[in-house]
Amino acid sequence: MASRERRLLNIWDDTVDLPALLVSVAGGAALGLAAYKLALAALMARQGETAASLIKAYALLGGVGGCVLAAVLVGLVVKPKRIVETAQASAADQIDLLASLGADPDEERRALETTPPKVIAEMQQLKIHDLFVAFSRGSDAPKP
Amino acid sequence: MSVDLVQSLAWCLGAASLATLMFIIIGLIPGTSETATIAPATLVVVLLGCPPEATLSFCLAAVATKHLVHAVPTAILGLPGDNMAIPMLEPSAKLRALGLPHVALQKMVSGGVVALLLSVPISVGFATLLAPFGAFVKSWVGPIFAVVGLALAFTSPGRWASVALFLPYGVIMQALNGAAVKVNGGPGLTISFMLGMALGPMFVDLLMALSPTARARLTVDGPRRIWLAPEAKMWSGRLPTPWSVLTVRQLLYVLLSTIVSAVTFTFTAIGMTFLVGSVTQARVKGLYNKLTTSLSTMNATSESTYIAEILVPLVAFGLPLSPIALTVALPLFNAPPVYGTAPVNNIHTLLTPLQVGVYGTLSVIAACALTYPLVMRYARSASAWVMRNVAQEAVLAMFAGLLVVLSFYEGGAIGVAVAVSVGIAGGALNKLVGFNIAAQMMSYFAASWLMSTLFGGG
Repeated sequence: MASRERRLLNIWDDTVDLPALLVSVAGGAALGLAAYKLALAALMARQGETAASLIKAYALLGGVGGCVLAAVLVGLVVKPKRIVETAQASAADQIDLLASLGADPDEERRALETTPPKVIAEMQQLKIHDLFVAFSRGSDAPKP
Repeated sequence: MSVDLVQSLAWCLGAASLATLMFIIIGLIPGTSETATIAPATLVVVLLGCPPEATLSFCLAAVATKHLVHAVPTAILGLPGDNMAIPMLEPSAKLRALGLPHVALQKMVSGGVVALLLSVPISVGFATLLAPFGAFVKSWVGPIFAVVGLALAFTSPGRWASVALFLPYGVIMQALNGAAVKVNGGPGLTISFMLGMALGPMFVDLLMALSPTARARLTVDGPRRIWLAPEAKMWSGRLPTPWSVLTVRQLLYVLLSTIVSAVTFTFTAIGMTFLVGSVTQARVKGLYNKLTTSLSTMNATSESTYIAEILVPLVAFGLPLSPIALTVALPLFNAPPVYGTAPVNNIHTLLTPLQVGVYGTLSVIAACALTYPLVMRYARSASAWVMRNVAQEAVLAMFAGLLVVLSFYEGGAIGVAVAVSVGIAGGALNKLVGFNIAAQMMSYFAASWLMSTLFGGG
């Protein structure tokens, strides 16, 4: 399937390759069901005297095992279609950042006066206290 | 201590630890629905014949762990761990932008831990206050389901559309159940309906992918880009205790939201979380304090609503009278042939309220004790690993397998056919008009009474 153009789709909030997904879903269903039926047949043949409901329950455990096995097999073959980026997308001016997050200088200035000492200490420890102080002072001399 | 008690405690702690280890892993995968994972796992534990203290502890520890760990993808990757994490995305994203994803994580997890410790005794206590009304509730189950269901439909994203769908959808579900009864005999299906509804979004997306006219709406340009939060000092030394991470005001809000969620146990859990989040954001001033307080109270609400929605109806009535009891925790109420609701023969009759309180508290303590240090130390590296190695195809393969295996177990081939049909119908209505799973499940449960009252027969 290397030469064929890959058709990437967004299924239940994540990216998948359609043919791979169809094979995976069918495989998961088939492997789960096969594991359930095999476990049921094996248990029925072995223990005639155990309650039927308990045999079915053990078989169900086998079926769930089949589903997990299917997920592991698919996981080994199919690679995720994701690009994991670690660099911060242009850490612009920190003060602009605060404004873009919806902070208001006047509200921040009043808030800093009434914020409990424990929160202030927390902000100082995280080295964002000075940033918030600078941001709240910015409102005294508004930019044109 | 008697031998019986030691055995029960061993069952409780063993089941809770097993659930915790399973759901630490599942919880790291973004978007794993609680209904599609916790309910089947609990069902297997019930059917294997484990004692009631073990099944209760398994389910509660699974819920507790899932909602502590769902904070990891939410804070580190900006992807909701499950539906309950969606309200926390925005404040988490803001802290991530400030380079403080670890603070978002710590506040969410700490709020969750404190809420868990409070919510079991509060829920059981509130349930014992409601218990005297049990006889009344049991003789009016049909109308109560209809009224609570209509109220839930109204609070679902679909509003009046969901209210309008309540009866027609119930009729469709009853017709599907009739088909299963015709083949198998007996009372019909429950698990197949619940799983079909839970996996509805997957069926609808798969159908759209197969349709040449609809496929374009799902097509994406290339691989999905995910921004992993920068490495911050994620506790390598001694871990702070959850309650020392929170300010007095944050602790107070967590306590309040825990009490409120016990009283409002029939409301939608995600709606409560949004509500608590916006109330907190409105009351607290200053961006940093606002974000951290709302995150801790919102995750506290996501834990405490879940615990309350399971324990209050379970202890008070033994009937699944809340959205979570009808979905995620259904096997604690109804798992034939072990547990049933007609007549009530489940945790409600098998354990006293005191036992539920003790085993419940122990299981959430076990879940917190195992989860908290692991999450704090390995959150970033574990999420990076999941993003790079776990394909969505593998997750969906497991969901498809679980649906087929469990519905086949319950109803044979017709069970699978019913589950798939329910998934298509429910998923389409969910996606199209916001008729969500809780409203769908209530509609199914209310339908038999509604139909026999309106159309006769029965």
